[in-house]
Amino acid sequence: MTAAGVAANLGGIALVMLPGLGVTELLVPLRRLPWLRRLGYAYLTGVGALGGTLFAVSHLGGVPLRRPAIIVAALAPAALGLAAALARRRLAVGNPDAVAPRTRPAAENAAAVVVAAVVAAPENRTAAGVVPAAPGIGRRLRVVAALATAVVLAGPLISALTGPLADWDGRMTWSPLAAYLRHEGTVDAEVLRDAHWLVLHPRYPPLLPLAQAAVQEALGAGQDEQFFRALYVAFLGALLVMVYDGARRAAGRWPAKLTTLCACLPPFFSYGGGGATSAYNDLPLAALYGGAVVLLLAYRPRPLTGLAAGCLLAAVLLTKNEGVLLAAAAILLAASRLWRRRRGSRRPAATGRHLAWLAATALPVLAAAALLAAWRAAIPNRGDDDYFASLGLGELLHGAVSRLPLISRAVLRLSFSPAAWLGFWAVFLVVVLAGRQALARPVVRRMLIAGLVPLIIGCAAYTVSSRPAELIDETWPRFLVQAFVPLAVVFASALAPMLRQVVARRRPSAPWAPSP
Amino acid sequence: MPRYGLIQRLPPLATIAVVSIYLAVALPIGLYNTARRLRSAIATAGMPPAAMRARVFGQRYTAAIELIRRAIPPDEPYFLSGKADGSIIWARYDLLPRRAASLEALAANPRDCWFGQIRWSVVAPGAGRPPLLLERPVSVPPGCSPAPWRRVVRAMPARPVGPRR
Repeated sequence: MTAAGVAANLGGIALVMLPGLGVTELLVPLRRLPWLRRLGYAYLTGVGALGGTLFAVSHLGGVPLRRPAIIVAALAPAALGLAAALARRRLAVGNPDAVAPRTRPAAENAAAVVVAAVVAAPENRTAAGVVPAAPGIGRRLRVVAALATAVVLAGPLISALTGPLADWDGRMTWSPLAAYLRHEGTVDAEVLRDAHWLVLHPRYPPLLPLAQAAVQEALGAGQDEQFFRALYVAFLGALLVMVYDGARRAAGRWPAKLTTLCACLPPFFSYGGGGATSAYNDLPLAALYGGAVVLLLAYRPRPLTGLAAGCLLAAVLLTKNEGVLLAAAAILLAASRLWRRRRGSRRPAATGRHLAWLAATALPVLAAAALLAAWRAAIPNRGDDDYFASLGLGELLHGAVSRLPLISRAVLRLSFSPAAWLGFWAVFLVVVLAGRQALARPVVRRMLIAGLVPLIIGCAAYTVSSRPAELIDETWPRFLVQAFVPLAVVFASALAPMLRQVVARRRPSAPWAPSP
Repeated sequence: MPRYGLIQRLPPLATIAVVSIYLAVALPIGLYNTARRLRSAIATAGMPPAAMRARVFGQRYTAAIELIRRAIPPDEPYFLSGKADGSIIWARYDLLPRRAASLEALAANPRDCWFGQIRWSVVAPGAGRPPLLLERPVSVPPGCSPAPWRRVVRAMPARPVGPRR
């Protein structure tokens, strides 16, 4: 590890963060977040903005994927965000009440007002239902938890910066795709379109390889210089921020901190094949999907929130094949929030603003789907299983019945593997079963369904795969990663009332009520 | 805030105890993993990427890869064969962005215009073992035009090549 290599890796993160900060400045619900959570969303939207822009201009406009295009793609959203911030400040000069102040405590207060309203909504109401006061020992414990999380997260970062890429899918699929795109300077690389060449999974969505190629190209990486490694590690940080944001909205500050600490500890997240030190796309997919689900299910349904979630879901679709199913499921779950507002129910009917929220979510996803389909049309498939074609109801049922023992045995073995998870999923089951009354809240129920979707997709693939045993071993832990954010929110929600009961005698007001 | 008796508090206490045990076990392991990586990073601080690759993948493997990289220009393809234990994947990654073609594809289509003009063949003999570079006789098959990389190769001066058989 050289100092220049470390600096270049951090530069890669900055290249992605820059457009993301611009996007979050443009989207009010994200702009109002405290800085750490805002950075998490900025990273995820930045990957979508940078990769998505390069994908579109290269495929539709034939723009070469070289340094000028990459710099413009990174700077344009940042410049837009800066212009919007300046315009708001200028407006604020004439009308001090027009714009929320930018200092942190005031921003916290603004977010607190918004979320207090969410908490007050019937579907989010808890027994405590109050915004907490700042506790003394609780604050110290939270600082310790945050420090421990940061130290644990430093492990994969150090590992990625020191060693060369040595994971299976990163070397087989994703990094080769990035290298081909960078070498040919186009997303429509000849090596993908010509069936002569040995390319494994040439039709896999190219968002992360594009981001990787952009980082390598912008920073002028040489043959063995891997300036993209920190790019993947940062997704673990973003995933934990999504866990924290979702858990804090659903369960409160202290359960959120505890859940985030528990979440960062399984070694699979850091060092497994599909973890932060690898170049697999499952961790990015998990962070993007988790962020979108939190925005759709735990935030108020506003058009700009929907647009932010839609951008993340578009990135989900462009990250992995199963992204299309995850995006569809997230939109359906969001729509189910409106279903509760149908005529005749006790809640107010869905308004035009609610429908605009849903449309703003769906539009970026549809655009991404069209772009991906247009790109794939010229690429011949070479040896990929076509799961979508083989997913007939008959095959599914036959596979589910005949392979049930095989699938269930392998799933249990992999989920409770001490080396990979250190018992996290056992603890998860204990907490959720003990705190099952939390499932009475619609937001928690929807989170549980959102978490089950990737696992159901995995099981469906196992029922029709031609090599189910190997596929389960290779992919089940990664499906658990994809499901992680919504399941962690369920974990926090189940944990919160128990924490409240345990210390009810000690404290008059609990610091783990849902809060901003 | 409701008050709870001891009996009511037992199930939540047990659950919190389970979470605490998990944290008591997993947190030291997480911190230890970080410390281990930090110690390794300090030991290799300042090491350039090529030396780090040699340290991780072996001197013989990385030396063979270097020789093959010097022999095959980035725009020229090569045939890739070997053991199906991942060594093919490893060699292909280290030779990027050069395009690889499989020998099975050549066997299936021996009169293909492009396959006949591929000059190099890389054999990955197994995990951790250095790949071999073989030179093949090439010609432009009848009815075919010269491949794009052949035009580039002809225009380039002679260069040293790697270990051949």
